Amino acid sequence: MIYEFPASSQPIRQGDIFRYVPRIDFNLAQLPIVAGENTLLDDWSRASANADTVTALVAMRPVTAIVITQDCDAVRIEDIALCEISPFEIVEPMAKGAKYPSKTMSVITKHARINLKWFYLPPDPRMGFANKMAVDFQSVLRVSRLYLDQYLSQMRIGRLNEMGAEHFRERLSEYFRRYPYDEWYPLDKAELEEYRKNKPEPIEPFSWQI
Amino acid sequence: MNIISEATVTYEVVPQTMRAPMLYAGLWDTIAMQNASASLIFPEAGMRDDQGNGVVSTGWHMFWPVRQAFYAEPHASTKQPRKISLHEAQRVAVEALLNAEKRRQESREQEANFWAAMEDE
Repeated sequence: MIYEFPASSQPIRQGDIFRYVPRIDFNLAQLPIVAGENTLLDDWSRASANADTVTALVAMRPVTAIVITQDCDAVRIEDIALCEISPFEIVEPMAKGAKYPSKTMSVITKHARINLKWFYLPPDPRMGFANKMAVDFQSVLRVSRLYLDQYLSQMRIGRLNEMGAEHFRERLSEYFRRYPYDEWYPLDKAELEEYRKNKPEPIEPFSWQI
Repeated sequence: MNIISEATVTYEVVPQTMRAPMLYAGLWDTIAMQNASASLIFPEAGMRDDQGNGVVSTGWHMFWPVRQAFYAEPHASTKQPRKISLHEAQRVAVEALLNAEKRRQESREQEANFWAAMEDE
C-alpha cells in the first residue's frame, strides 16, 4: 500500500514508523515518589516546590509511533518527536463497526477532512498492521535520537512512501496550524441552545447572543 | 483558611496561556492577618498589576499555595504525602496509565458522538 521498507543504513526521517516507543502516563495529583529508602504518594506541585529534581515511579507502555520531526532536524536533534499510532476505531470511534466499504470510505475521506486530529494508515501485514490504523496527533512522544539510531533495525518497521509522506506532512501541519476560535459566535440564541446540547463543556454566549 | 505557615515566603508565579485572569489581591490580606510577608516573582515581563487592585490583566497560572491562599482552587489537594510500599507504588503507577488511556478514549467518544449528532441532523 502506502509503505516502504528502508535499509537500516537510511537515516531517520519524517514518516518513519517505529515500534516499542515508550509512552509514559502519570497522575500528577498522586505521584509515587522515591525519596531515599522510602516511597511516598505525593502531589506534584508540593514535591516540585521542595526539590529541583523529583524521582518518581511511572508506568510505560510500548506503542507504535510515527516520526513527526522534520528530516533536517531528525539528523542532528537530540530527541525525535513521534505521534502514537493506534487502531483506527480507537482513534476515530465513528469507525467502530464500520464493515462495508461505503461506510469505511466515508469515515476515512469525509471525516479526515472534518476531524484533523488523526491520519489514516491502511492495513499491511508487512508493517504488522492487520487492521486499519491511525496516527493520533494528540499523543506526542519524545525519544532519544541516538537510541533510535542504535536500535534502528529492531525498532523501525517501515516508513510512508512518497505519496503517503506528502499527505502526512500536510495533515500534520494542518493539525498544528489550527487556531482556536469560538465557532458558535455567529449563531443566534436558538441556534446556540441547539449547539450547547451536544457539547459537554460549558459554552458561554457572547453579549449579542443573550 | 490558614495555609501560609511560613513567616516569610516566596511564591513563584508561573505563566500559562489560555487561563482566565486571576485575582490575587486577597493574598495580601491573608498574609497581613498572619503578620507574615510574601514576594511574588513574575518570571516573564508583561505580568503587571497596573490598576493596583490586584487584578492581573493577562492569563496566568499561579503556584498552588498562592492559588489556595485566595481560594482560586478550593479543591486543591491538602493531603500530606503518604508513605507507601513499593508494591502500592507500582499499582498506583499502572493505574495512572490505565486511567489516562480510559480518559483519552472517553474524550474521543464524546467527540465522535458530537459529530454523529451533527450528521443525524
